[in-house]
Amino acid sequence: MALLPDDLVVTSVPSAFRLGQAITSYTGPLFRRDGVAASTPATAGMSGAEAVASVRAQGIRALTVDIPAANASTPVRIRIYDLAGRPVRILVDETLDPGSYLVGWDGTDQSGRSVRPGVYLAIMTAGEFRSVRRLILK
Amino acid sequence: MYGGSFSSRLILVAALGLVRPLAGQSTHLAELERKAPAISVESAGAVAVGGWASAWLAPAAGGRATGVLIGVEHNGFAAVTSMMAAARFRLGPMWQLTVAQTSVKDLFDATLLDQYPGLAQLGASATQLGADVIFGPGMFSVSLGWRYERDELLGDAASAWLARGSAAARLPLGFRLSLSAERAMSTAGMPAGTGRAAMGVARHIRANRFSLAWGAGVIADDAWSRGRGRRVIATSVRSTLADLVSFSVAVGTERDPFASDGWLGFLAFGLGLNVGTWSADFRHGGPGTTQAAPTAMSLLWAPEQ
Repeated sequence: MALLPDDLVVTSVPSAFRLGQAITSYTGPLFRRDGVAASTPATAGMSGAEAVASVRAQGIRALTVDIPAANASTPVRIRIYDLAGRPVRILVDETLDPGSYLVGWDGTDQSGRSVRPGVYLAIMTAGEFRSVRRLILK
Repeated sequence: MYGGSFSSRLILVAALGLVRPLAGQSTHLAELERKAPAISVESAGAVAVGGWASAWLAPAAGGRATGVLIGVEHNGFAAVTSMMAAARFRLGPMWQLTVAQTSVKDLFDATLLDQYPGLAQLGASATQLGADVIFGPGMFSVSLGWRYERDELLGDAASAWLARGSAAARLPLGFRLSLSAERAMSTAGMPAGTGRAAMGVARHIRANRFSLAWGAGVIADDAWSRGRGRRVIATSVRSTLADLVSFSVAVGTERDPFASDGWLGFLAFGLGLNVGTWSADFRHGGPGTTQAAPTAMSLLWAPEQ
């Protein structure tokens, strides 16, 4: 199971599209995080020092994805690009039901090779919605 | 589990301020190493063209050019900004000093920063410092120098000292040849590869108030273990009218196994304005995709070209 602090666990379906950075060591595939609170260990939310230490140690490798309740199932694509705009990896390419999700990146490209550490861009498109967030590999 | 022991370990790391080496060359150091001031429409294609257009990559090819250059490049797609500065002057032999820095902005979401303001102290930047001494500007010249590179990512840093040498020669029929090579000599946290080399040829044609400088070159970059295998092949043309205005174009292809498969073609365009000893150059494009095409500007004061 992912290492999920409380603020990554949601119990309600979101009201708007959103792509966000997540401070967690999770690097696995997309999964729904709403309604999973009961199966997640109860932990205190991270303090500022813990958050800085966590990001410094492992970077930002995970994203939160919100699909609003007002929408029917929505095709969602999240692609990772390097700083020069070269496509590195397709992280998500599937139709999602309304809800909140978490997806991690294991730091490999589409061929499964490790990429260099540093800053990458994750671009999410879902219908008309488009959002860009950073992923940072240590 | 995200339990107490895990949190305690993270806090301990932060408290002790332990500087762990990076795993290798970062994305932003790789970006910095691909940069050249706007006066060079593209590094590989202009490596033998001569003057300030070549000096950044191959100091020996800079010839008798002296002066001071400052430049900036911005990649809006990734919010990456690079600053560059160089000086060439005679103090006995010719000397060239360079400094460059690339930094990546907006690393964290605003909502994350609101929640954890301490994240603002974590950055991503790369810095280069260089000094080269050039002997014999003329028919044949060589340079020897060193370069210091520092790579910082989220509070951890790596650095290296590199030795650099270059040579330039004038060939029959108006051709010029230039070579440049560098290799890491001492590293702290940057696993070194075998080195980096560039080679190019160029030819100048002048007719009345019109001049044309053509160049072509290759770069083979194996300097770092996480940068190994980068290759660039490019050619460039710079046309100058009445020594006043110049137009440049470069076309090339790049392969970077640590970024994506295969070769990626690119274009770059440049515009230069020369007034007396001052030159202003603008450039758009270069290695990378069109969506991340950077825009660059450089300002040069060159009492001797």
